Amino acid sequence: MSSYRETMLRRPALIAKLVWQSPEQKLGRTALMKLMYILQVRGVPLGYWFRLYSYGPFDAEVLNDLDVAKSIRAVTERTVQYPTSYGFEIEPGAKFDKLEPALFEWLEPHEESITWALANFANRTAAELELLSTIVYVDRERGSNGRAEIDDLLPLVHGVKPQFNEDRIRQACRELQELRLLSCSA
Amino acid sequence: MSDAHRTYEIRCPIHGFIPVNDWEWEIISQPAFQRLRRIRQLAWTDLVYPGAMHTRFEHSLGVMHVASQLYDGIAARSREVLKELGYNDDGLQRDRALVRLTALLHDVGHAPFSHASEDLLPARADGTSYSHEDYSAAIIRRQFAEVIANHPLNLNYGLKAANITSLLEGTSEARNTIFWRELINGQIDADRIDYLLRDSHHAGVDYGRFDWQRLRHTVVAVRGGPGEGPRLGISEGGWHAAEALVLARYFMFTQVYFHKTRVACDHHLRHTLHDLLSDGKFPPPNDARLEEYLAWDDWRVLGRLAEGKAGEHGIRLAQRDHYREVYHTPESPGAKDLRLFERVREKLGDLVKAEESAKKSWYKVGPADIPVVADNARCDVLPLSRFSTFVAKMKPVGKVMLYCRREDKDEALSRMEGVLSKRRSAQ
Repeated sequence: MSSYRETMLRRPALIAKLVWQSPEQKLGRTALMKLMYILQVRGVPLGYWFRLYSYGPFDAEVLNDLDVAKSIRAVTERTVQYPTSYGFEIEPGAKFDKLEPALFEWLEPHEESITWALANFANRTAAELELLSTIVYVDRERGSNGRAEIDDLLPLVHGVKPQFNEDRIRQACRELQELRLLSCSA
Repeated sequence: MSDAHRTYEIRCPIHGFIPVNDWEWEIISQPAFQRLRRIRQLAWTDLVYPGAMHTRFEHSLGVMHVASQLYDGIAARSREVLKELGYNDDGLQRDRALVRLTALLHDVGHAPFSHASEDLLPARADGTSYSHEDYSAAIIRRQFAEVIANHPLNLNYGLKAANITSLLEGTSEARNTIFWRELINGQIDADRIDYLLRDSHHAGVDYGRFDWQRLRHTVVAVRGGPGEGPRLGISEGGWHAAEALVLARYFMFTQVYFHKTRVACDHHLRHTLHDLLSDGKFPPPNDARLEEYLAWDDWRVLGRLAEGKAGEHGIRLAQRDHYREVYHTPESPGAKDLRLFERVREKLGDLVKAEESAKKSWYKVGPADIPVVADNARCDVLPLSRFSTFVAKMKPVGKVMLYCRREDKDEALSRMEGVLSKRRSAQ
């Protein structure tokens, strides 16, 4: 049985692991949020409760877990200023290698999903991640199981993300189909 | 037949008069809404703060009022961003009504004693538990659909129950109105603003007060980077008010919502309800059992308690013989603190009757960063933590508390002594 410490630190440990294993050993907050969403979709039992916002699926619990990961110095985070906005860069912290192996045992059956998610999503822009995760969310919400088509998703996704035209959304849907993240058909 | 254009004012201890139109008045008059008069906002918090006897009814009216004030501020100050979301004046007028109704109805699904009993909501087919929002949505669809759709004031808007539930639940059917979800459930949402002010007022504490009038005059829609969705933020002039909101959340959590005695009472309430409910859970939010769920309110639970039919935990609540806290970690425990906690837990063994964690609490201090639009020519957007040293230094609250029976407290303290003195001498 897991100890309280293990239960409390397992998701923050996953955050640290994602940062450590990401291609450049750094992740933005949007990337972290959407990676957690994709991992949960892929069956990693994270227990988050994602809801849709204009910036895609979001659960504040992910940020709470990030705060815990920062407080135990498993990761560090700094603000990055862009021309008119800002982002956050998360990097491995001084105590990352002090995290007990037991905190990662629950992830063993999901190593492949983690590697896959990082390879396919970690290096994308925040805007792309918002769009892709929104499409996955809408597809799952429709519960289509192959009965719906991409055309059914387009107006809904466009409604939530009017920043993207339908051609761009369609292209993103096809990409997600190739990654087998959508249940709708072409 | 009422005059469809009549307006009403309801007195509120926080906001003065809350104006209500005839459409909203009819909604408020529905039995499923009136039930909120019988659901206390803060459960058994009155055992610590005797004034905290207020209900979800007055809170729901307050959230509607705050949401529309925030909405008006954003609509006035963020025209360009809203235009990019496809809004014109008619659309803004319609969605103002939508936001007000969503705010008004957001809590109709609460179980008796609000969040304290939420652990007794049953599981969905996928194993995750229903939330009070799922119940709110189901109740809106079943109990309010007609009164929402058919009022004369809705003629120009054509709003349906589904418009409200999609915004409340965060589904894609909300389309561009999803932007307003942050007003219902976000960092600067109307729910949070109202409950901090209201709970403070009734509890008789000042911890939850902040300059909300300044906040409503500075809240704006903030563009993300290229292609990113907009979010709610504040203009630079309001950052101290936003900082005070963040601090109010922290103080109210540590001093009221996660007060050791209140948390003990929540534990007893959960067990009381578990004994009272068939299968130990509330009925699920499906059409066949929704009426059964709505029949549960505080009065019914208190009736069972008064009849002495609420088991050992009910007696403890009635006699204020709650479990006593014997150990707690620091507010933001590190790895060492958690290891010590586990040793203490082991030493106490079966004396521990409850273990309560801030992590599992329904109230959260939550993430603190809010986008701030700087007062410079480029209107740079910066996180609140760049302005506020307090916010930058805040740590997550992860406190855990152990409880035993009152009569076992001395034995518990003596059992822990060895572990704790070892720790003291090591320091």
